[in-house]
Amino acid sequence: MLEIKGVSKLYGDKQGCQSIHLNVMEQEICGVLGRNGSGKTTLFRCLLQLIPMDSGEVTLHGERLLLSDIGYVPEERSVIQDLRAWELVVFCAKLKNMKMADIYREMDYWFDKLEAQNIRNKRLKECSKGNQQKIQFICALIHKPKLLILDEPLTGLDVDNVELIKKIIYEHRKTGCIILLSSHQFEEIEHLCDRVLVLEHSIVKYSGRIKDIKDAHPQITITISDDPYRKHSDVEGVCRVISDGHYTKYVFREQKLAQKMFLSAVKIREYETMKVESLTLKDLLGDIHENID
Amino acid sequence: MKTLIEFSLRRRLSNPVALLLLGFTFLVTGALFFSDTWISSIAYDWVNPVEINAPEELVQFLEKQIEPGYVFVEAKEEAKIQIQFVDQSIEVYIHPTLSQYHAYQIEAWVTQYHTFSEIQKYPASIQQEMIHVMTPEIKMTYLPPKKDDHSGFIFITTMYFMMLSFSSAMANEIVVEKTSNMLELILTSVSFKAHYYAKMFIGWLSVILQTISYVGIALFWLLIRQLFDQGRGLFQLMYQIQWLPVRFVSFKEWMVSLNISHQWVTGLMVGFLFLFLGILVVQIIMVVISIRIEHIEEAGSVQGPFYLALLLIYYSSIFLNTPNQMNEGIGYILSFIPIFSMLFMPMRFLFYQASLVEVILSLSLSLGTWMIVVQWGEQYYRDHLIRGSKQAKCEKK
Repeated sequence: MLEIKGVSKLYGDKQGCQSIHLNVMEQEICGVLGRNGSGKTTLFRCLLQLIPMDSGEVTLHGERLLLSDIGYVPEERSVIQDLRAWELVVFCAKLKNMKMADIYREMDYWFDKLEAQNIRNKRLKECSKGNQQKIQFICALIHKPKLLILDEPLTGLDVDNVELIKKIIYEHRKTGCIILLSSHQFEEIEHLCDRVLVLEHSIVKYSGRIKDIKDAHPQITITISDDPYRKHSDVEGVCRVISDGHYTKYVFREQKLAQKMFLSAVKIREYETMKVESLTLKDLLGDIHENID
Repeated sequence: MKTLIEFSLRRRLSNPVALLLLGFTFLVTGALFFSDTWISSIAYDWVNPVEINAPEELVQFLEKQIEPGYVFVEAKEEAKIQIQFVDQSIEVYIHPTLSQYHAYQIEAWVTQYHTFSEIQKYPASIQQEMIHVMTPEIKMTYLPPKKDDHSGFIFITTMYFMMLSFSSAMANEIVVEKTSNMLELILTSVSFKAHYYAKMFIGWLSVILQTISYVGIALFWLLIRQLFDQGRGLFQLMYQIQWLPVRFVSFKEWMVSLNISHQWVTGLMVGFLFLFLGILVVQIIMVVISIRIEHIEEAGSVQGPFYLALLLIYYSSIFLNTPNQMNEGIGYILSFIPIFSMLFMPMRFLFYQASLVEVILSLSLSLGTWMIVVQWGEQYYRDHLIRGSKQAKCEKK
């Protein structure tokens, strides 16, 4: 289990993170969420021992967290452009004290797994951003870390690569790895995470399992396309209306009233798309933010 | 740390440009060592003596005084200058590729021969008087070459600029790691301390490996030339184009003529130690400057003035290179001040006077400064390499 106990790091300008407490079990994925500048990267840098904590303690399975236990994919692309893809992987693996035989075996596995064999001998400057990100993933995973820290891992990827990386992350937790991943786009990682840590202005706004959040907020949404004028906002049971371009999302607290509204909307439907779902993480956390504010 | 050093050295020394340069250096060095061979094919007279075919009596007369650039041959077809006695006159045929200088030279020799052979026809009693009248007594004395041998200083200044370029290369490496975000990734695997000392070692090893490469190339061609003709042809060319005042016949003979003493070698080694300590301090300062650089564009503007300061040290050592300055003036004071002492103290003990106590005192000051700067540099490196890294734990496992 990863235990983060009261970690604080503040810069002179009051940026950073304060009193972070977090427990993440083996095989769990924890999303560290927050807007830009909320303290996500500072927390990661503290865990990576790049910057000293002002206070607090971090342990992994009851012992001090070692760098050799961590795999890290930074937010910015961190590659040496003139190296070939395999050369960078070997360099990173050797920094983690891996033996060459193990490096080549693991490299074969991960290049296959990430569908990157075609770029293995390419120079990184010839690779797309998505492919460079794949190489960074291989660098982070090759030494079988116990804790994987992914800072905005899906930023700048195309749809196919987002799905591939999500799949890899989701599958990798089965190895017993604890995964922390940050994002400021909640909807991107909602399906991956078991728990979330929400940061705002350097403090924890929410920390817990996603299931617990949703249980505490038993809300249903009906999303209707091409409804810019909020046609159903006066319907009984609608507690909140959220506009998103031509889409309108109606939030209900009672399932029966939501079903009733949905049926009546279907009857008068022309070409609109309608979607019924539980409240998304984005909406929920938005709700939590508003309540706290 | 070992991985960092290996990786960096491989990138530095075995990249395509470095290998191309090494290959080019290999070829150029080979061409220099065998320059007489290829120069003789395009400019035969630069390397080979001019062949003269002349009557036996003339050959006998000139043999003792002929210059090294000429040689007598028996076969007329091989000769570039043919001298023939026809009746009472002397006919000289000169190859069109030869210059007017050769014509004047031959004319002088033939005139001299004619004069002496004509004098021989007179009674012995007046021959001496005639010689006295017809030939002036010229006493030609070659002035001895200047005794100041600056070869040691040439060696040290060469190393000075070479090492400076490497310390800047190392500083640039840090800038590149910072700007490519690789630094953050590397520091999640190694400690700040390991990274800092790895950069130091990389700088030092680069200098040593590069020097070994070039010295190795030179030694290789020297050995080949030794096996070929012991350097005879090369020395002939150097003598011919007046690079050497003496025509040596082998590398061994040349080495003996250098008269290298133990004292000279010891002086050079101590001078090199001063230089090395000074450059190490410079290297750390450059690293410290470089860690404050955020963009590659800043690197030039920050490092530029620093180079000018180092050039200033170099030129001041040239301008202050007088006995007065070096024995009791500013040069004397600067020979004890770290960084300056890397050039001033070697100059003092190589060309002027410096007591053993003064040398040891200056060396101790340099060593002490270096140790302080290393410690301070490590702390500064740890505190400023990454934003917010101040007081970061140095030890990581």
